[in-house]
Amino acid sequence: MKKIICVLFATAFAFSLTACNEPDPTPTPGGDGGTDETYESKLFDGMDAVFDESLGYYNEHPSVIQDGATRWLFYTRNTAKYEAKDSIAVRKGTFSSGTWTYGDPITCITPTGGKWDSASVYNADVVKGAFSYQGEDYSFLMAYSGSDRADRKDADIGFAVAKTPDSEWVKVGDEPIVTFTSSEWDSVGLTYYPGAIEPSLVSYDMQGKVYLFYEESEVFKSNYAYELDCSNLDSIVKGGRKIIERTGITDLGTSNPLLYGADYVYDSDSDFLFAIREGRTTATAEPKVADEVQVLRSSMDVLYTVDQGIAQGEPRVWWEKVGDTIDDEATADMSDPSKLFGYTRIFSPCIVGDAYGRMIEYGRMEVMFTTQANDGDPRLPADREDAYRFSQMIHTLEISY
Amino acid sequence: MKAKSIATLCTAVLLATGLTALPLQATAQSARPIIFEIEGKSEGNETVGYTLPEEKAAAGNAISLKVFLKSTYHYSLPVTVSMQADGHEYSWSQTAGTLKGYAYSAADAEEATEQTNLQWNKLGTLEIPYLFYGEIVLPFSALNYGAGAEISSVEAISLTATAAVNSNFASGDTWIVDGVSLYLFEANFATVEGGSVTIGEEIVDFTQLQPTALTHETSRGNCVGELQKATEEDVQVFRAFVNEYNSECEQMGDIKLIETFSLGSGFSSVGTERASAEFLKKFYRSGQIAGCEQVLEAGNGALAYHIDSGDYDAGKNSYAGLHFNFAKKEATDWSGAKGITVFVENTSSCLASFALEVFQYNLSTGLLEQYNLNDVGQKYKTAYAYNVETGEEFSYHTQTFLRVPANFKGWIRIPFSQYAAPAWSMAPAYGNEGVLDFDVNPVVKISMTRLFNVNLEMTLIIDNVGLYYSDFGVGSLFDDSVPSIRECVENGSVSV
Repeated sequence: MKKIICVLFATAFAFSLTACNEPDPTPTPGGDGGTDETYESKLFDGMDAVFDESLGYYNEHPSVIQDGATRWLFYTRNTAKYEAKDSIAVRKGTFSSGTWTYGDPITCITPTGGKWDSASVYNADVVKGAFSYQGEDYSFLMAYSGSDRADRKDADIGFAVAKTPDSEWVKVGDEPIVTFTSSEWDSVGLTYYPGAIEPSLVSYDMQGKVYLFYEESEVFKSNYAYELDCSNLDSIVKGGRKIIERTGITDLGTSNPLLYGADYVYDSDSDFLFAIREGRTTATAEPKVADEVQVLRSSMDVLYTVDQGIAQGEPRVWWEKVGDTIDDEATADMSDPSKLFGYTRIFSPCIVGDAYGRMIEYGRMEVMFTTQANDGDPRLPADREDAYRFSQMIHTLEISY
Repeated sequence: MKAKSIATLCTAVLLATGLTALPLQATAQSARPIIFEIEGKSEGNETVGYTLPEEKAAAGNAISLKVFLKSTYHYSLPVTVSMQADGHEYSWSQTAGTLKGYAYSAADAEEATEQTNLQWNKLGTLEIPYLFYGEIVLPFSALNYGAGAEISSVEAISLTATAAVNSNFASGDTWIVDGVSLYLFEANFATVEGGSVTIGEEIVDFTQLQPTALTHETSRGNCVGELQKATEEDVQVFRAFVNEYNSECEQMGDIKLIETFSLGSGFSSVGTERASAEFLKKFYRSGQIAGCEQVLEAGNGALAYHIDSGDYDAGKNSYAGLHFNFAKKEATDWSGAKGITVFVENTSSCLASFALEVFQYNLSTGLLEQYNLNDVGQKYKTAYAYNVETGEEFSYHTQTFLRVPANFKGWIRIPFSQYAAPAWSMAPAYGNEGVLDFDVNPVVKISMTRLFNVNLEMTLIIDNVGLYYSDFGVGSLFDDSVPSIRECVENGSVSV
């Protein structure tokens, strides 16, 4: 029996409740330009989004922290309707009457001309702590992917800091923290390199030390955990950069299982590292993204164990699946005849953690993920062939285990 | 003819193998031996023989042949020892088991005190290990495939070296250069009684002969080998190799260096050009492209391993193989070590790779077993690295061919847990048992193999290969319960 419960059906536990804002059919302020734009509905094949914004704006790559009674939902959003101009935006979530409501978007960062992230910024993750940078103290550290290419390829990972999530964000330095250079891996003429992507932060000490998890597209892709002391961001102390073993992760049809698009939280009570990841895509039509997401967990020892000496037999299986996979069936809304099929593109998930990237309550978790319309869907505007590129929505579900 | 003396027998305990030692008294070392060298032989055997001026009555129940194997194309050189006796041709040949050998612990040692088991391979030839300097004791009781023979007199003696590689090695490599160099000192009668051996009357003293006194034949084609009288420099080289072989491995932190890609201090008395040549001869090569070679450059005690695009045939799935045995006996003892480590510099700004394969000599089967990172049961293997220039430590996934990141310079560690026997080597034809046991078995060879197509024009500078003995972590910023790789290298110690 599915253990996934759509949070539309509120439970008594406040942390897991999320309300889906009602679409506003009237002209709304769009983008950062403040001009009035006509609202166009996205395609709802299943459950509602956690907030609604007109077609023409992509809302993807959610990252949510819950700091006391407040949530901060960071995500990737374009700043002008039907223009692929990236930004990292945040919406403040407040809980009332059993429902989380998310406010208007606030732009945190945008690309910086002439720099490594001059064309795109996306897929941010934020953690609370104690950080200093150029003589100022900050409480929130953001890791994000960026690139000087509009298609987001060959990405690097950089940092930004803020005193509060909705205050000014200051980029750290002029160079990325994790640099990806495709030519270093390109000995056989490969041309497709996403780069260093999918950053996810977990605090080590609730101060300045953090794990930076990320995915790197080398010859074959790998997941890493980078130990960093960011107490003084003018002089970051880099510790070990550790491969994350992948035994226990399975994908049909591939021998290269990975924590694709993963977000991590740590549960100190159980000493488990939880990861939510994308299933390997089988999509043949754009967008070629995953059609399901799933949660896994591993002992935190996965970051520290070195199997020394001679070992005979099978290697240790580190990862095990937690709860049910979120797929089209799980995202259907059985109460609405028009939303019975659910979504066929489900990707870029996150686990709602506390401000330090830790599990809020062992035994269940709220997760968020992105859905997107398919290219060629006849319900999309006929005069915009690329409309599907601006159709992403963010949804939420609860997983119990 | 010089006088012979008979050694007093005794037994000693040898090294970690627990083998017993039976000292044999050596003859004078000052004379120069005959060197039997073969270069570039790809098939056929070559035989060097000596016919006595007159038949000599057997003074014992065995023959002892004193040799030094300076170089070979594999861990060992397969040979067949034969003799003409009582009007018949006899050869020692068995397809399993071992023969007793006794090694000298120094170039000027007077007694061969270290018992060594010499392996019979499945083709019936006897394998002389790399850098073996000692006595090969061949009992008459082992003739006729173990049935034995009564020998009353000996008329001639010969040694046939297997020039084409078809021994019982767990490898199907195609060898490019054989590079055999075998020093022949003398042959004597010996008496084997129980567990003791006594050197007896001389049959032939090669150090007193010129090459023209010996015959040289081949079983197929032309002879490519040469018989040479050792020069004084050859003797110095011999002494340097033997003394180096019996010296202890250097240590660096928790690392025992098993290959430093440097010649030992004993070579200081050898000319630079000769020393460099001897260094390069240490490596033997294989590959699926005939004529492909790696460019080897000896400099600063490192090995430059280059893949030349000129040798690349895109029509073939080609690789280059570079193989070496250990210059020190102690380097074959891997007991207590936790993994292998290599200091390597990737001089290119792109990923390079090489396979670091180890060969365990299975004492119970007498077979050389190959182990590497090619494992159908575990696709991704984990390596651990410390970049000495950036200070960064990291772990990463690799596969059969160890990946060396662009511009990396430093130590890479591979725990033995990542090694496995490749599936093909588990076939009965190869006989790999697939179980690493360094408490029992020595490791005698390392192969470094590189794929051509992904390594073209890329050079790896390989400075040291060693064994590490400590647990370690990847950095110690968050967890300092175990030392980092850097701390192990700088402050660790080798403790078994």
